[in-house]
Amino acid sequence: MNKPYFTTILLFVLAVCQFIMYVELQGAEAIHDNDKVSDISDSAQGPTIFFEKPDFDFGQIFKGQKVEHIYEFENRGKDILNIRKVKTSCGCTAAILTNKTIPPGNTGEIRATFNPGFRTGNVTKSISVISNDPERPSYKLTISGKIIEDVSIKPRNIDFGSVSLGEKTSKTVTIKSQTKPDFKIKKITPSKPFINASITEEKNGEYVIKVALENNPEIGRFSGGIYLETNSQRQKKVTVPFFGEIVGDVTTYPKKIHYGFVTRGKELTHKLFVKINKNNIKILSIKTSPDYVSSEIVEEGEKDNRNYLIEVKLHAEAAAGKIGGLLELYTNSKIQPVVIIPIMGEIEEG
Amino acid sequence: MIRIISQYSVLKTLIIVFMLLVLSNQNSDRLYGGEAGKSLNETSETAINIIFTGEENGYLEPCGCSEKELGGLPKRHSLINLLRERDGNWILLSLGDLPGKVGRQDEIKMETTLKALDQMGYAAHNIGEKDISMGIDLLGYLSQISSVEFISSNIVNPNPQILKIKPYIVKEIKIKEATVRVGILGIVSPELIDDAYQEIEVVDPVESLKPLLDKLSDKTDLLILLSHTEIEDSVKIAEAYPGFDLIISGHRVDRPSLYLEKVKDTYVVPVGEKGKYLGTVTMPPKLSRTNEDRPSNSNLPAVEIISLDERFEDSPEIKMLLKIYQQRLRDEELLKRVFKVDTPSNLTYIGNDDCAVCHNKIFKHWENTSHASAYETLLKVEHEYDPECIECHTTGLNYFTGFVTIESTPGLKGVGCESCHGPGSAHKETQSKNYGMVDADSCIICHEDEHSPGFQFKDYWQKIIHPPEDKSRNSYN
Repeated sequence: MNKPYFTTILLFVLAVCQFIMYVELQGAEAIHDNDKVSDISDSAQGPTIFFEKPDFDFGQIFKGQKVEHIYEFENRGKDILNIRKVKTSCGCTAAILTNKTIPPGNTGEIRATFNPGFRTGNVTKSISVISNDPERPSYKLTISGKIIEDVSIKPRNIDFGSVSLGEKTSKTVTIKSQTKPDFKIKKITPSKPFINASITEEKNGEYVIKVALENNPEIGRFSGGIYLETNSQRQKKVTVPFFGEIVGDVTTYPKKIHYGFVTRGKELTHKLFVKINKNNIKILSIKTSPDYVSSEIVEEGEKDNRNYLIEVKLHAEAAAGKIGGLLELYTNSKIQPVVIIPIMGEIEEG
Repeated sequence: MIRIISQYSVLKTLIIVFMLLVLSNQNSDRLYGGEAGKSLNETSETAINIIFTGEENGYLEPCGCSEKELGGLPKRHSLINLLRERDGNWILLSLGDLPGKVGRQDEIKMETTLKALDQMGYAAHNIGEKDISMGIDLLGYLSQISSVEFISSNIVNPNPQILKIKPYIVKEIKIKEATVRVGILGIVSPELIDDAYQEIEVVDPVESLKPLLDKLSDKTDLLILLSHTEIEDSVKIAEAYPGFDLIISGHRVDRPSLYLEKVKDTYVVPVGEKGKYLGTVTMPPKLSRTNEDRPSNSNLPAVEIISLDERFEDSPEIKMLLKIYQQRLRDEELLKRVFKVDTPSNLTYIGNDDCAVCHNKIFKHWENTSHASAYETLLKVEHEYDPECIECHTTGLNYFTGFVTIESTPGLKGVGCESCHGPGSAHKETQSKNYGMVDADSCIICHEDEHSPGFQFKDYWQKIIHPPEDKSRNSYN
C-alpha cells in the first residue's frame, strides 16, 4: 500500500471514530439528563419525548410474581415523535409500545411486564426508548424493587468449614415465614446419613433447627442439603444446602493437579498449597512421577504457620500422550503418612 | 457527564459528516465499544489505563444456547490482548463475586475464573459477598496460589496465615519518565452479607476507609476504590471521601453504560453482571495531590463500557482452561452429586419409551423436535458432564428417579415427555385425564432470559405442538 493512500485511509478511520464518539456521547449525555426534561420549553423545534415518571418502583413482590406497569409519555415537541425501538435490558422484562408515531402534544404508552423468575433480592432493570428526539435519542426507564421469598432462611447456607476427623460439630439455622404467622415445618430430612437435623426451638412460627455433623465421614469435602416440608403455600418444599470439609493432619489444595492439554515442548508450573492442621506435623519428603514432572517447596511457614507452597513443574521434555502422574507427600502424620495427589493432563504434538 | 469530548468546531464536524457520507459504503476494520463507542485504536501512553470487570457470578462463558449472548472469559482475554497491543500500561481490576452460588461446581468455577484472571494479568480481586460465602478454606487456598492480589479494606481477616488479603495495594506505573502511584482499595457492603454466622467479619466500609485514605493520600497520585455495593452506596462514599478519583462499583447492574455517575470530582462506574462487559478508564496522571492539580475539564478521564460480543474471538489459552474445567466436572462425577429432591406426590419418572406405548403419534412427532435432541446438542459442545447444562437437556435431573448419568438412565436423556408434564408413573397406571397440564410457567424454568432470551410461549409452542392422538387429548390448555 503506498504511503499517501495509507495516510488518507488512516485519517478517514480516525474521522469515523471521532464522529461515532461524538454521536454516541451525545446519546450518553441524554441518558443522564432524564431528570432534566421538565426544563424543556414549548419552543423545542423537533420532537421531544417526555416521561413524567421514568422510574417505577414496584416495592416488594414474591419470587415468581409478575409485575406490570404502564409508562406514559408525551411528545412535547413540534414535530412527530417516532419511537424506533424499545429495548429491555434482560429477557425478564418485556415492553410493548402502543403507538410508534406520536404527533406533537399527543401521548403514548409503554406497557412493561417484569417476570422475576427465580431471582430474589433487590433488582433494577432498564428499558431504553430509542426515538428521533434529537436531545434524547435514548431515554432510560427503570423498573426496580425487591423480590422476596416467603420462607426466610438464615443463614441461607450452612458452612461447616474445616472439621477435624472424628470431631462432632453443629450449626443452627433459623426459619420463618414472612407472611404466615402459623407457619409450620412438617418434615425435616437431611440428604446425608452423617448429618442430623432437629428442631430445637419454635416460637410464633419461627423455628431454630440444629444441624449436627455426627457420624464423621472420611477425609474430604462433603455437601448436601436439609430438605424441609412446610405449610407455606408458596414454598411447600425448601432446601438448605450444607457443605464443609473433613480434614486430617494435612490438607492439600487442589486435590488433583490438572495440566489440561499441553503443547509438546512447553513448560508449565502449578502451585500446590499444603495446609498443616496439627502442630508438629511436617512434610518429610516429596516424590513425583513421571520423571518429567518435578516439585519444589517454594514457601515454608514457621512456628504457628507450618503451611507449605509447592511448585509442581511439567518439563518441556515430556513426550506426547497422557500424563498419568502422582505427587506423593510423605509426612510424619500417623493418620496420613502419605498424601497422594494425582497429576493429570495430555501432551499434544505442536 | 462522564465522557468529555474535545470541542468540535462546526467546520470540523461538517467535514467529518461529508467524509462519512461519501465513504459510508466502505468497510473498515475498526473496533469500537458497543456501549460507548470508543475506538480501541486510541492509545494512552501518557495516561493511566484501567480495565475493570466483576460480578462474574459463576458465568465462565455463554452456554451457546442462543445467539448473540454476551460475555465469557475467552472473549475477555482476546479484548485485553487487543488493548495491550495498543498500550501495555493497563491495570486490571476485579470487583468481586467470582462464583454464583455455593457448591462444588462453583468452587471449581471460582478456581477456574481466578486462574483465568491470573493468566490475563489482573492486579487485584476485591472480595465480594459471594466469594465470602465459599468459606475461608477455599478463599485461603486461592489467595495462596494466585498471583492476583486479594484485597479488602473492610474485612477482618480471621486467619492471616491462611487467608492472604491486603487492605489495599499500590501499583507503580512509569509515565513519561515519572513514576505514578495508584492506590487501589476495596470494600464489600455489609448489607450484602446476610449470613451473620460467617467466619469472616465485614465492618462498616466508611469507617474502615478513613484511616487507609489518611495513610495513602500523600503517598499516591491516584486513588481507586473497588466498591462492591449498590451504586447508591458508592455515591455516598464518593460524597464522604472526595479523595477517590475513581470508584468502580455496582451490584446487579444489568446495563452498566446506563449507570455512570459523577460525584464532584469522583467518577462512579459500574461493571455489569456475569462478565458481559469490560470497562476501561483512561485517566490523566496527577503527579501531586494538591488542590491546584485537580483535573480541569479539558483533562478528564474517558470511561468505556465494551460489550463482549461476537466481534471478539475466543482466546485459545482461556478456552483450554474451560476445557479443563469441564474435565474436572467429569472427573469429580458431579452429575452423581446433584442435589435431588422428591418428586411431587412421590411419583417416579418412567421414560419416553413407556409414554410411546399409548402416545405413539406424539412420540414420533417429538422425536423430530429440538427437545428430543437436547442431549446431543450438549455432546457437540462437550458439556455433557456439566450439571448446570444437563439440567435443561435431560429429564428430571433434580429429582429422585430422574436422570443421573447417560449410562445409568439413558431413557431420560433429552427434554422428554416428563420434563414438561411431570413424572408419569401414576398416569401410566391409571391413564388419568388430569395428568400433565402445561403452561408458560413450566417452560420458563429452562427458557429463561439468559439461555432463551427470545422465548415467547405462543411462538415456541408451535414448534412442539403435539399432533392429536386417537385416544388422548392434547395436553395444552
